[in-house]
Amino acid sequence: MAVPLSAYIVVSAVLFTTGLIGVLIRRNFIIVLMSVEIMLNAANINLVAFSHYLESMAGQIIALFIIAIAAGEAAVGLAIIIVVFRGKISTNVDEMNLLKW
Amino acid sequence: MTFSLNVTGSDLILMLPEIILTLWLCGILIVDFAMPKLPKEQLAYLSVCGLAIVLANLVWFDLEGVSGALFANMFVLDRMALFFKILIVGATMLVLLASRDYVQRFRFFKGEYYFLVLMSALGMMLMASPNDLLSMFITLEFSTFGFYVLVAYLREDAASNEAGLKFFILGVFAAGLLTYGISLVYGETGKIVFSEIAATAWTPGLTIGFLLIFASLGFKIGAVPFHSWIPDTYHGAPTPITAFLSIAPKAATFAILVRLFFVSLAALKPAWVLLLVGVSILSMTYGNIVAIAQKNIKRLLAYSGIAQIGNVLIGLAAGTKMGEDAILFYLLTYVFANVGAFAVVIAVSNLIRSDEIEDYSGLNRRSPFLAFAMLVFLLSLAGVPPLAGFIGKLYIFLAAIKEELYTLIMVGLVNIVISMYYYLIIVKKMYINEPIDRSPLTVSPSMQAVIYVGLAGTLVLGIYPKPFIEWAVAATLMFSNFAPAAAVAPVVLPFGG
Amino acid sequence: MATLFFSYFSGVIVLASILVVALRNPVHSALALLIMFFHVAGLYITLHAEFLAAVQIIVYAGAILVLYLFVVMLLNVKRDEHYHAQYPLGAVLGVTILTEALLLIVQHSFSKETATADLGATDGKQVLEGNTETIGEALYSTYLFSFEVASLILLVAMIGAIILAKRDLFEARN
Repeated sequence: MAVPLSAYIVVSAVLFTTGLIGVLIRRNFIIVLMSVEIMLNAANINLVAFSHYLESMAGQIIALFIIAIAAGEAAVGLAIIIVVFRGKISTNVDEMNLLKW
Repeated sequence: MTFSLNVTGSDLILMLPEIILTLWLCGILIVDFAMPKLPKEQLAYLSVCGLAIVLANLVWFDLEGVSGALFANMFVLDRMALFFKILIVGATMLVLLASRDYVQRFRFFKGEYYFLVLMSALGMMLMASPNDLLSMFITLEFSTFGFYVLVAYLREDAASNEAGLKFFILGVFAAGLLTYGISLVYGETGKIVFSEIAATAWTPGLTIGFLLIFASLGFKIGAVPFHSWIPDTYHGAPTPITAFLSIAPKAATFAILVRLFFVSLAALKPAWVLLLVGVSILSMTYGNIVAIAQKNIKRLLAYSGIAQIGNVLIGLAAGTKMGEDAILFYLLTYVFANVGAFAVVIAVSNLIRSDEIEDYSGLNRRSPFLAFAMLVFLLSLAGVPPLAGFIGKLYIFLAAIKEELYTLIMVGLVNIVISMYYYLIIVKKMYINEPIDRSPLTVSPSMQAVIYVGLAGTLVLGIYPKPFIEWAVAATLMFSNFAPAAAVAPVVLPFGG
Repeated sequence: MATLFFSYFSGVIVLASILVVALRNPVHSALALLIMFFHVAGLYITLHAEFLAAVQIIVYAGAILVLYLFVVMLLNVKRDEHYHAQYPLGAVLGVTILTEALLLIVQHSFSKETATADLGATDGKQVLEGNTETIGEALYSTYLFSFEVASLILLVAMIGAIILAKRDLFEARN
């Protein structure tokens, strides 16, 4: 008994929304980055599900590249966080106020 | 199982400029590593030499009319791609020359600075070519990665760190929106190549997908609902990087936007014109009004940049071939005026270590050359004849008049008046106010070179724009009939290949 | 059976992702994220994307998450006591987007009629779904351009991370 495509889309939509809310409401940079990873995973679930149901390879390939980009983003992002942390001893969004918004 | 690699050596010639630049920047990295005694200024000149070779190659391709597509139509080289590549390589050369003195402020990793700038330039050159959603995503991320590091390059400076962090968070957030948008478009159509997407039926899922993609591209150009990173990032980043960031990624993103809107979405013009008109009006008005209150010249140029992007979006909103020519020409004038203005800011900042507008008081007494150059660049940004900015604005408004977007033009004209006000405040400070410190300022030769190029470009494009307009018109010929099939030009290779 | 697996994996994914966003201690969030990554890999297997499932575990769970945990431990991040003041905005945006997505699915706009799409990816050969060979062949022929660019991206990320985070130079020369 097969699972319908729309079931995967629902999971992916819920995941994307969770990530989006996480980016907006969390103040800790590391958790904001984790929320972005959740958004990327939502896109990947969508792509792989479409790839399966459309019988096309492109979706899986895009998902593979998204994983590679996510790895690069994590490396650069955490390096930036380390640099900032050395200077300010804080990883919170609200305490960044040197530059006025 | 055997691989069927559909690429031959003669096809790869289409990627020759990118290949040269890749080898060159790896060479820079090796030279920097192998010869620690070499003065770092030499690396700046070495990088500019490499870019000059690439530029010569691109101009040769443009004159020969080289075009074609590689990798199952995913990498396209047409005249528009060549136009944007020439623009980006030229801007990078100016930025590298302008950063020669500024680099002395970095305590370590001076050589890697040039490597990263060239890497970002390579990313943006690639951004001018993609013809599918995957290559678009990959090249966009590639060009942004270098900037994440460059913005935070002043490691001991808290403002630079903070700018880097804000830029990074919003950048990856935009990447998240982009990937989800791509997944929706792929799911609805089963295709990823732009011209094939155009051929499929329209569904609500595609609307959401394209809105997400547009939002993430809006982040890259800094159009108004997505502009929040611009002022802080521009303020905190090293000034040459601010100059680079204010031009090259925006131009490259417009290459993608033009392909996306004119190829994939050509059939839906009535819908996206409304969206672009709204974004354009918001960007112009918000950018210009907030710019009035700024005390720091980098922030002022950041807000004026938001407004200028609003102006460019008028051309996209017109949605015609003429509108697109106007975008290309406007970006060309913007490169000269904006790089020039930032070069003056860098020169002043190198000499007096300040970016506050107050410190520009009496600049005319201290350095008439810098004050005059700034005057010309600001007037060009404001759109005063006979400078380049005037022709650019005129062209874009004419394109909009033909499409009868009268509301947009009214708002645009009102905004020119507002922008005139804050540009003239700086001019008044430079020419009328008394200087706080009367010591004369001397400008280094490489800065002078950049400022002279900017002045020459601004004057020539303003007084004799004909050949450049013809170049822009020729660059967009393949979009003239809006047929999706025309998006891929026939293969023409050098050596008759 | 497939439905059972799907329900289990998706249920855990949704729960773990909500925990990542809601938990106050970053270490707990990271562990919830780890659980989520493993179950996403499970979901890929139900879709016959075995290669991606392996990559998901090796890269996401093996590399990225370890990096996160390492930084959380290194910086000794204190507990995050408050949520950001933007959460009404977050809630409104979230509910809107979710409603739109669900409406779409109700309308069944994601049809399966386009099943003949994009077979050009493998030059018309039979597509073996989830097969490592198929992915490899597509990656090194049709998608070669993106593949090469991805290698450059990793080079930039590597050098960039070294430039930003390397500390020895400061102390050695000061």
